[in-house]
Amino acid sequence: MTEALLTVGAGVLGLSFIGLLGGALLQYASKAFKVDGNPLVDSIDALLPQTQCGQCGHPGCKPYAEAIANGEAINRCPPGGQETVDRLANLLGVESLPLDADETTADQDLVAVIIEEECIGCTKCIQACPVDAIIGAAKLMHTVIVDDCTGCDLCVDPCPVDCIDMVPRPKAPDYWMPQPPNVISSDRFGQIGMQHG
Amino acid sequence: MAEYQIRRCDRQLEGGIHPETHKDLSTTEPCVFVDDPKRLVFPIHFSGGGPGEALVAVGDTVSQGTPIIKCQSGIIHVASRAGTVIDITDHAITHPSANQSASIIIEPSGLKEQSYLDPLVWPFDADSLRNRAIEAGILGLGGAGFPSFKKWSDGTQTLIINAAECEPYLTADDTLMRIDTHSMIRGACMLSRTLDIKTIVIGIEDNKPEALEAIEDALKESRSDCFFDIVLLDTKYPSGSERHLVWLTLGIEVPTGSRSVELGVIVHNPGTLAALSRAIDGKPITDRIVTLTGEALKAPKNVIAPIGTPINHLIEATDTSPSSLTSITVGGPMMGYAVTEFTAGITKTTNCLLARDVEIPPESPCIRCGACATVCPIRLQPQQMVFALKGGSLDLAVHEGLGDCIECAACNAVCPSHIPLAEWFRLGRFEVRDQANEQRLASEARERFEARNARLERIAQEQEAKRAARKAKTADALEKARKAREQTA
Amino acid sequence: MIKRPDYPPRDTALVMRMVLIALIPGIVAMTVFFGPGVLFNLTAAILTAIVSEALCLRLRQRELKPRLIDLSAVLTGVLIALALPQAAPWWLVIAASAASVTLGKHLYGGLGQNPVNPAMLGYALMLISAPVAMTTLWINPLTTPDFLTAWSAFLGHSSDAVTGATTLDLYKTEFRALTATEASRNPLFTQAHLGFIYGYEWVALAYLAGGLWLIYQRVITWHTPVGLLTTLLVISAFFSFDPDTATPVWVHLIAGAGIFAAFFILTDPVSGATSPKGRLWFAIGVGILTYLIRTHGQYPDAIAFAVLLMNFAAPMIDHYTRPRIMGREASVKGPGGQS
Repeated sequence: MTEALLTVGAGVLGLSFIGLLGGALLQYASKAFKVDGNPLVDSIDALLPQTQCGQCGHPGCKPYAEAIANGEAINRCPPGGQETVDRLANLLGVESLPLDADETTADQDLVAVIIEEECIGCTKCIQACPVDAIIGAAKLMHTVIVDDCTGCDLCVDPCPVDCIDMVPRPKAPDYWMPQPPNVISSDRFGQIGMQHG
Repeated sequence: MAEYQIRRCDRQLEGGIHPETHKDLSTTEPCVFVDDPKRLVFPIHFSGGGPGEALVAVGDTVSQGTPIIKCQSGIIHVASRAGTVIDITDHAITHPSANQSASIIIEPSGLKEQSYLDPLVWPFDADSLRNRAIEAGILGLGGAGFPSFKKWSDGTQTLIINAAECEPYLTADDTLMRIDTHSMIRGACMLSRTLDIKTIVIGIEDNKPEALEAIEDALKESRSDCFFDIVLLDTKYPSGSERHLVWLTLGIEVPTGSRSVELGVIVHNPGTLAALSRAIDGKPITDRIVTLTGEALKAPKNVIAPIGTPINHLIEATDTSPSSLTSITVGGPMMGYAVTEFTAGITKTTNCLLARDVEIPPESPCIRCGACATVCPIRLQPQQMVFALKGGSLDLAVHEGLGDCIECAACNAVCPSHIPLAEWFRLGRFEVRDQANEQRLASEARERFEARNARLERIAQEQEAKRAARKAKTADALEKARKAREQTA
Repeated sequence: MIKRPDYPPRDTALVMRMVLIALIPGIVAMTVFFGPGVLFNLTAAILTAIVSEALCLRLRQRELKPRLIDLSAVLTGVLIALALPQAAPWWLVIAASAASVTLGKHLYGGLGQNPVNPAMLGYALMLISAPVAMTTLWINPLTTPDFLTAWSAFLGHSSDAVTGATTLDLYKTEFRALTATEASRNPLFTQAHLGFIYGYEWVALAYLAGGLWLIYQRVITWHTPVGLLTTLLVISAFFSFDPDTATPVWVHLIAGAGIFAAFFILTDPVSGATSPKGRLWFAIGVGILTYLIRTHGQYPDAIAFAVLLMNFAAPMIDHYTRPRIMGREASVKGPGGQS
C-alpha cells in the first residue's frame, strides 16, 4: 500500500516538477524573445499592394492586414490580384481562395488623371486621396502625381464635375520585358505546357 | 615611350567554355567604310542612355554632329550625317524587345557639313571631361551602353581596358585596336590623367597577336607617364565579363550587389576610349566599327558605319541579299539577340551583325547532368534556377542566386537538353526588377498613407486643443465679467 | 597532344550513346568469363525496356520518337541486365527491366523526373520478390557455361554445376568458418591472372577502362567513382584488422558491383546529387551504406539499397553543397522559398 502510494507520489511529484520547469521556461522565453508589435500584421501588410483603396472594406491596407491576422478572409484585395491571395495563403499556411472580385476590377494597374480644363479646384479629391498624391489649392487647378498614385479610385466619386479618369498606368518609354521562352514543363512534346507565372 | 609590361594572367577562369571562335571569318578582309545609306534611323528611347526626347522636328536640316536626342541621363546623341529630318515616327529598332519605338529618321544629303564641338584643351578637370562625354554621347561601346561619365568618380585607382572580346565571331574591338590604336591609348591616357589614375591594365585574350603588336607599337611612341600592365588572358568565354576581367587582371572579386567602380576600378571598352579621344578633339560619336560576319554572309568583314545605318544596308555591303536571311543576330552568338526587321538602324552598342543558320533542336527534359553548373563562371546552379523559374517561383530562383547571373549563356551552350536557360534567367531578372519596383512604390505609398493619417490625427488634435483653449478663454472672460459685475454691484 | 573535350557533348542522346559505348569493354569481359547468358540478359532487357518505354509514352500521351531515339530506355535496360545474375531466367530479366522503366521512371513523369535510379529500383524489387533466383544464379567464372547451358539457364533450367553465389556472398556464408589463408586457397583466387579474383578482376578492369574514358570525355566527373571506391577501400581496410573474419579489401572493391556502380550507376545524373561536392558526398554515403549492409545486413551485395537510400538524400545534399557564388562571402545553404 505504502509502496503504491510512493510510486504514485513520485509520479505526481515528478510530473509536477517537469510541468513547473516547462512553465518557467516558457515564461522566460516569452520575456527574452518578446517581439514588439505584431510581426504577423507587418508581414501581411508587406504583401498587400498598398493602394489604400478600401475595396476590402477596411480604411487602408494596414487595417485589412490586422483583420486578416484576426481571421478575416484573405481574398478581398482586388488590386493585389490572385497573386497576392496566393502569397498570403503561403505566408499564413492556409488554402488559397479565388479572388473575391469582378474580372474587370481585378488586376488592372490604373492611375487617376485629372482633366485639368474641367477642374474647378474644389479640393474634394485632395481630401479623398489616401496617399497625398494630388496637389492643388482651393479654386486652383489640381493634378495627380502619377508616380505616387496607387490607382485606388477613391478620388473619382467625390469629384463634383466628374473630371477624374482612371487610365492604365503609363510605362516608361524604354520599358520592356523579354518574351518568356516556350515552356515544356515535362516531356510532353509538341504541346506548350503551363503558362509562365 | 610609355612604360609597360606584358604578362600572362596567372589566374584561371573557373567554369566558362571554349566555343569555336570563328574570328578569322571577319578579320581576313580589311576594315572599310560603308557608303552612306539612304536613311538613318535613331530610336529616341533606345539609343542608349535611357529614354530621351527629340531635339529636332520634322523638316529640320541637320549637320553631322547636330544634337538630335537628349536622354534622361543627359547623354546627347547627334546626327551621324548631314541631312534632313524626314520623319519622327514609330519604327523598328535594334533592340531585344523587338518592339517598334519612336525614332528620328534622317535622310542624308551627302554634304560634308559638320557641326562639331570645340576641342578641349589641356589642362581640363574631370567635370569638363564628363560634360564632354555627355555632349559627345559617349556610351559603353562594348554592348551594354552604360553612360561612361557615370563611371568616372574621384578616387579611381585603376583603368582596365576590356580588350578581351571573348564572344565568338566578334572582331570589332580587335579591328579597332589594330587600326585605331593611337586613339584608344590617347583616350585612356587622357582619362587617366584627368582622374589621376596611375595604372592602366589592358586585358586581352591571347588570340589577338596583331592587336597586341599594334598596342606595343603605339605604347613605344606614346609619351604617357601612365604604367601600362598588359595582361594576356587565356582564350576562354566569358573572360571579358566585367566581373571576371577585374578578377583575372587584378585579383579583386567584386562583391555581389556592387560594381567595380565602387572599388576604384573602371572598365572601358577600347572603342569607348577611342571615341573619348576624338570627343576631346570635338568630334562626337557618329560612326562605329561593326563586325559583319557569319556563314550566311558572302563577304564577311568589319566596316565603319554611321550610327543609324539600317541593317539591310550593311547586309548588302557584304554582297548578300537581305531577303536571303530571315533573322540576324545582333551581338555575338552567346549574348546576342535576334532581329527580324532589317529596316532597324544600328545603335552605338551594335558591335556585330551575325548571320548564320543554326537550328536549335527541340527542348527535352532536364536530366540534371550539371553541365550548366560546371561551366557557370559565377558558380551558380542553373538547373535549380530554371527549375524554380519554370515553376513560377521567383523567390526560389533568387535564393539560388538569380541576381548574380551575368546572362553569359555559357549554360545554354552546353545543355544537352537544349533548355534556353539564359533566356529564363533574363526574364527572371526583369521580373525581379519589376517586383522590386512595385515593392518600392508600395512602401512609398504606405509611408505616405501613414504620414497622412498621422497628419490628420495631429490636425484633429490641434483643433480639439484649440477648441478647448477657446472654451477656457470664454469661460475665463465670462468669469471676469461676472466678477467685474459683482464688484460694480 | 590530344585535346580533352571542353564540355559535355551537346545532346542527351549523345550522352547516352557514349555511356553505352563505355559499357562495351565490360560487356565483353562479362561475356568471356560469365558466358553467353550475359548477352541473353542484355537482349531481353533492352527489348523489354524499349517496349515498356513505348507503352508508357503512349499511355501518357507523349510523342514516342524523341524519347526512343535518345536511348535512355536502352541504357536502363543494359544497366539492369548487367546487374542481374548471369544465369537469371528470362522472366526475371523481363520483370526487372519492365519494372525499372515503368515503376522506376515513368511513374514519376519520365525522363529527368525519377527520384531514384530506375535500374537499381528494378534490381531491388527483384531482390525482394525473387531472393533465391537473385542470389543463387550467379555464374562461377571458373565454370563458364557454353551456349546451350546458358540458353537453358535463360529458359529457367539452370544447372547447379555452373551457378552459385557471388564471391562476396561466399564470404558471408562458406568462408565464414575459414581462416583467411584457407579462404585464399579457393581456386577463384589461386587461378587469378592478376592475383585478385579469377574473372571478376578482368570485368572490373574493363568497367574501369570504360569509366575512365567517360571521365576523360567529361560525361561524368571523377567525384562519384573516387568517392565510392575510396570510401569502400578505407572502411574495409579499417575493419580488416582481423583477416579471418573480415572480407578482404579487394573483394569489396572488385567482387561486387563496386566499380560498375561507381562509374555507371551512381553517375545517373537525374537521381544523384548535382554539384561536384554533392556528388562526392553522395558517393561517400553510398560507400558507407554499402559496407554496412554488406557486412551487417541480410544481402550479399548492397549497392542497390545504398543507392536508393542516397537518392532520397540527394536533394538535401544539393542544398548544402552549393559552391560559393562569385562575389559572395559564403555559399548559399539550405532550401529556399517559403513553402
